[in-house]
Amino acid sequence: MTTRRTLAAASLAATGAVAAAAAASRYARASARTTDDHPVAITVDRPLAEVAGRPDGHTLDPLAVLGDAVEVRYTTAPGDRGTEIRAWVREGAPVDRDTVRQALRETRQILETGSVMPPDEPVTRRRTLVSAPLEAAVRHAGEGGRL
Amino acid sequence: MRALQWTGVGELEVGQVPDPQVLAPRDMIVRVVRTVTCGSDLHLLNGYVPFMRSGDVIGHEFVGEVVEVGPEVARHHVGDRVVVSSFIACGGCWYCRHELFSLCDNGNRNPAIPETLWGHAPGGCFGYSHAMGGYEGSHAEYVRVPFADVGAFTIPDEVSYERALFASDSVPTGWMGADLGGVQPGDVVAVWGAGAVGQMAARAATLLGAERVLVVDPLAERLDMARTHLGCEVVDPTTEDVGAVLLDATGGRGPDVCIEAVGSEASGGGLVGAVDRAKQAMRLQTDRPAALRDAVYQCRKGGSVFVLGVYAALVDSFPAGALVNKGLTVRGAQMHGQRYIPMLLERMARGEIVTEHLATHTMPLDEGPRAYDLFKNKKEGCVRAVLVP
Repeated sequence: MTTRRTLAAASLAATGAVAAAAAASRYARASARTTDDHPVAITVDRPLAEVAGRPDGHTLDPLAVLGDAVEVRYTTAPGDRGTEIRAWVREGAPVDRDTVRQALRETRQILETGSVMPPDEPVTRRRTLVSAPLEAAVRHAGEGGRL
Repeated sequence: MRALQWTGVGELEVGQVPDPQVLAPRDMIVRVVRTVTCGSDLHLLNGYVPFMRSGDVIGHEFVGEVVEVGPEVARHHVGDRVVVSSFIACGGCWYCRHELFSLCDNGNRNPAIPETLWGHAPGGCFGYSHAMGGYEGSHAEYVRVPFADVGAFTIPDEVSYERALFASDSVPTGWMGADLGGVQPGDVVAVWGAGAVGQMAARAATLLGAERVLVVDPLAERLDMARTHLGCEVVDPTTEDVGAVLLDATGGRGPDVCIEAVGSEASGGGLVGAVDRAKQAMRLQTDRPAALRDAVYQCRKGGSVFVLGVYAALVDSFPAGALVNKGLTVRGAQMHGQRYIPMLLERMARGEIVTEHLATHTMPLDEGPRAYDLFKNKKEGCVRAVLVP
């Protein structure tokens, strides 16, 4: 396949990605019209005492880093589903919801697996004209989403 | 090391990539002994899963030898022969605790992409795009296996690499379709697709006690396999009326369980199928669900449809009326391999499940692009092409 055809095909694929993502995000927006008043929430498959009752009295490390910028509440999830963690960004705090989302994901990984997953970093990938949007999506793949 | 890389839509190359490293305490490194093409790879190759970057190593169904283990790997040792689940799961979340391993909360390191696309993120998968975690695939000399104690299984001495290879994905996928589809003794089961997954779904249905198993596929050589190796009845939609055959086989009831093992690039479907192809080509819909529609239509009242075929996002003209008015249960999943692989290896050791016939072609890794040409275009009767790094 020639370079020109390759680019055309890749562009077509990228267009498909955008169309699919746009369609999917329509559903996401329709079902999750949140405001910043809503917390960022995650459920961890561990009992409340293990999640919230830390011996040192502090919140878990990825959340502790955020300090007073967030208000964190822990509740037992229904039906043996572990513990729900909700975090609110305090007004005027120097963090955004993306940062909180990442912290909550890392908290869950530490509690459930013992460590934080190494990120999806480019090892073998080659940069192309149409790969920039996907590269950006991967860079922020722990911060974005629907939490 | 050498690896087979996706370099663009319709393009594969064998190139040099860095050797994998142990990056987390529960990782291990496996020297790949056998790795095989999968129909779902064709969706990557054809550009229907647009979350690939040029240079990504593909491949997710493999066996090999352990060459290095992380400090927290307890079940495996250097030199072990292992088969590895294509889906990556942590073993410690609610979904893993409930044996829904492909839904693992911690296996996918790019959760924002699938959350945006599908609402929530499934687990990760080797070599299957950045939407599924961006993991390097198995079409390589070596591969990093995260959460090794959860996803890798020692192959019994009685089972060859060649047989165990398909316990990585095809066999557990097929088994899951029959198991979660609810196959019961006495059922009549219809399977759409006679590729490796469809054949293994048919075999699972038989082992779970189905009275009759009918396999639908337009390719004569695959139907011959299903008839010869699995003892199934077969239906060729290019020469037979599938609905009439299934009604005859069930005394007019329709199959109790219908398993769709075709996925998003289905052939056939008549006029609606032609519209599907046009819309997919124009990227107005992402998937062609002809087999899924047929499975829903043919299924008996109150029956079960299980979707094993891979779909990327959106389909049109889904028969919601049949779903509701016939009271169907429709379910789908990526495979929960960790739930089934130990049992499947035991069945392989007893000779209840054989897979060697699926490997119609075996060739060196360097011939990876040719392997996919044979596989994609169904040349030389190719059902699966096995690569030997």
